[in-house]
Amino acid sequence: MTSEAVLSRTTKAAASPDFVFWAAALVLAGLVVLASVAPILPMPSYSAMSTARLASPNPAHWFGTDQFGRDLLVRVLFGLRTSLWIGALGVTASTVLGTAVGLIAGYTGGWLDTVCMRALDSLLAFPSLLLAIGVAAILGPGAVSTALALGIVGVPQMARIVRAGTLSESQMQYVEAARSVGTKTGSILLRHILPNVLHLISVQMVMFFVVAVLTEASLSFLGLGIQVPVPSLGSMLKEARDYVGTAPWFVVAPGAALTLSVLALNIFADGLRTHAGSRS
Amino acid sequence: MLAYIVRRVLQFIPVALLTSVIIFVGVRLAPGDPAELLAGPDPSPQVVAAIREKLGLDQSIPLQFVLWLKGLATGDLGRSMVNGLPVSELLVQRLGATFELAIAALILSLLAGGALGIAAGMRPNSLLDRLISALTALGLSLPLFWTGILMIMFFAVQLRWFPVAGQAPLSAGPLAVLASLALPATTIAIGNAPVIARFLRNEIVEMRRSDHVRTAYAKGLPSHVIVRDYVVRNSLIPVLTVAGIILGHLIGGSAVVEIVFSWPGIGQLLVTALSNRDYSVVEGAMIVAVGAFLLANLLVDIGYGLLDPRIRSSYDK
Amino acid sequence: MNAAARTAVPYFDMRGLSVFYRSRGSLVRIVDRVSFSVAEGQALGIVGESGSGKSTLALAAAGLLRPEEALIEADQMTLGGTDLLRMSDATRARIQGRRIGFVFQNPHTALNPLLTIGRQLTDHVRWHMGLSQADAEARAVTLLGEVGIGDIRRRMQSYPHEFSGGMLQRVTIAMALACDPELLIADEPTTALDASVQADIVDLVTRLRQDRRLTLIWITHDLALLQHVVDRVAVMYAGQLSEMGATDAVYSAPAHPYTKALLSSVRSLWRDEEGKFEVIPGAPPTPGRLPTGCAFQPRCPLVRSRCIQTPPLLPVDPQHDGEHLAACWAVNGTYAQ
Repeated sequence: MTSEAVLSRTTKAAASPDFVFWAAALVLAGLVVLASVAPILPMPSYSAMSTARLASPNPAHWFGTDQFGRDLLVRVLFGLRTSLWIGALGVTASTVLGTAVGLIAGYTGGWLDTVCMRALDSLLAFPSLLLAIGVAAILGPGAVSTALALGIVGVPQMARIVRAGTLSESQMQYVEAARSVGTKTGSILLRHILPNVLHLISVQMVMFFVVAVLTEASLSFLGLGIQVPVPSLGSMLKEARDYVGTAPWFVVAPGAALTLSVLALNIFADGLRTHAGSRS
Repeated sequence: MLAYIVRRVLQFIPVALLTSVIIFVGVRLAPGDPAELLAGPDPSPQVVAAIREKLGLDQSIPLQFVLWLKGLATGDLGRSMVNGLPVSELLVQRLGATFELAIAALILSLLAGGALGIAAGMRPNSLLDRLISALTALGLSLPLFWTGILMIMFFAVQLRWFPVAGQAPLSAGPLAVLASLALPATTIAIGNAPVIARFLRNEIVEMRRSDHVRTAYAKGLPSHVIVRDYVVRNSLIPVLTVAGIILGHLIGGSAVVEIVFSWPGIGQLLVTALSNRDYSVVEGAMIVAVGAFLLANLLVDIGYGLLDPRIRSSYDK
Repeated sequence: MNAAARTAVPYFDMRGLSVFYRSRGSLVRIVDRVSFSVAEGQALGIVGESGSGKSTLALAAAGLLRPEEALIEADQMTLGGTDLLRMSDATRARIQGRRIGFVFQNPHTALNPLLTIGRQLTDHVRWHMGLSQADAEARAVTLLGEVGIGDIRRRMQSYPHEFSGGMLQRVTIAMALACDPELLIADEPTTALDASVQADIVDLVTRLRQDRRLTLIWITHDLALLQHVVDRVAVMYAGQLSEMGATDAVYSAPAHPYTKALLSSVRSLWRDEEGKFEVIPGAPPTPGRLPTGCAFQPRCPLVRSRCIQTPPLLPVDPQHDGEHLAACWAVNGTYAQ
């Protein structure tokens, strides 16, 4: 064994405890469950106003209330639900579109590939938040357009990754074999190449999910995303800004929920990436 | 080396062009007619048509684009549809503010991220490393606008150490300028330093166990020389990659931070103009923001060439 | 106890070296109580397959294993009288590069891609010998000539990626010899090179060794190559020294079952027409999962119950050759209890 090989074995000492990864996964699962069951929980409606305005946390309202007396716990839960849901939609859109573009561009090559790549490059020329702001402005406010905006923002990265994977898979013998037997391109792409780039796609999906959730929150904060009355953690923070001196919990609750989710997602994504890396 | 730079610049142009087309078309696709907005409540069709003609919106889109490009070349970006001020003037004003914020944030990010990254990289898997890793994970997860609001809540409102918002003009003296920069720049840095720290840490760990570092030890070179010439220097190249990502964050992130801190920069201009459907300002601001990003990436690419002789060689053929 | 090697006064002397790698909180033994010595101006070859621990041994000898990666235990390790085991960092820095030169296997990764060759040939020279930049460069120019590199002025300004493997290895050899070391340790210096180039490097090192009266330790898995390079050979298996002696003695009359099997696997080394490939049964050893005693037990045709006790290096033919030793109870009739 060479000195390089021998040495690289030893210094790969104990990685971070896996328990952090599983803790994050657990937290994530818990948040997803909470967000899913939010509508059926025995709590007041998220738009139910009351006279207890800007009340600090108390037994009746665990997270306190906002400027309209609405229960913050409920609103945070539903806001979380919105963030996760829109984020997921955005990821799905970008995955489907990005994978399609990546597969076709990577497999076909030639001028189609070049055109696609130039177009994607120019999309990548925008810092992602700015692009999201631009697209959201065009599409208008609201849940669906926000999800679409997120989707568009995520396409270039996904397309790049899928294209890279497709390029290397296309060189493989099994693809040649399929081609020589006369399999149609679509079939080759979907049945042969796609399964082999799935691991790349799944890692990117989780990573983009983090970006999507944060971007949606930013958009809503700027007033360009989810609109009232649908609660969104971002727009809640926008409202909370006015009460910075008077109702700190109003500021803390939605932000903490958002940060917690993103943190769990980040740790989870990191862990996935490490596992995916060690597999290949 | 020169050939490399020239090639990079040439590649930059078509992308820039395509991007401006996207911006231009995108703005026009947005719902809402600026002419109608300007015409006031319940306008007559003639008034609207007149305004439209004055703004040049009645011409075909390609023609508008060419005219706009012409204007771009001469520095005339039209006027704000809301307050009539020349767009270029507005942009210049705001650009200075954003620049000031971006530089301060970048310096903070580099210092903090660099220090943390090197500290963690030189002692991998130690308690310090784990701690820094946890900190970076947190920093990456904090939404920028929330951090900003929290900063204001603690440091401005509660402790009254810093102003709540706004940019202090240079005339107010360096202390005041720094005070007004402190919170917004720190907010941005909290989001960016972790990226640098992580990357640098991983690079340094890789470098330290690399063969060429082992060779440096075999040559009997002292640790400080090895760290300087064989570890850090080689780690800088990949960090440059991260710099590109950071720049994206800085330009995108500064928009949100500017809003939170009422910082009169390009980002704030852009968002307000968007809600006002102020076409010309939106175009101008977008172009500047994106242009700055592209330019920065170009500089990063050139930096690569300067640092790594292997990249220069592949272009000298 | 080991029979003392009756060679000239040992110049590089290592006794009872064990190296443990730190892995996930535990220690894995990679080198198991190895002892050998090299006389001044002599060349010793350490040969073994992948996983035998030979590279680790080389790194340990050169002091290139850091405390956080490995634990080194030895009774003694000296170079010309200087204690290498309990060195302060300052002493170590004066030894490495200055009195011990090290050549790594892969020249492309061993050199810093961002620094010119000239710079890498001079930085340690300036540090160790206090020369000015001009003097150091002049010295480097001479060195490059010595190792057979042409177009020297241009080469000095070139970067590693602009050289071929063979040329680059010459450069690393020049670099290792730049401060006139007494001992050169080469860890598989030709393994990464084309066959045609390997012979050139062997010739180069042989010549340099004569010119500079170097003491040489050459590590390799290539038995055929080694016999042309070194005076003495040490064979390693699973971290243990299994056989040691003069090259001719070991190659013509291998005593340890492992050495015999190893030699029979290289056609060019068959001594008679009847030679045949012998497959060593069983699987290569896994560090950390070795049997008690001799590591070769699971695969040895001569295994006995006695082998649970690790055999020391015993003289193969005490009457005629006091230096040929093998770590096997079957040697020298010792089996007969």
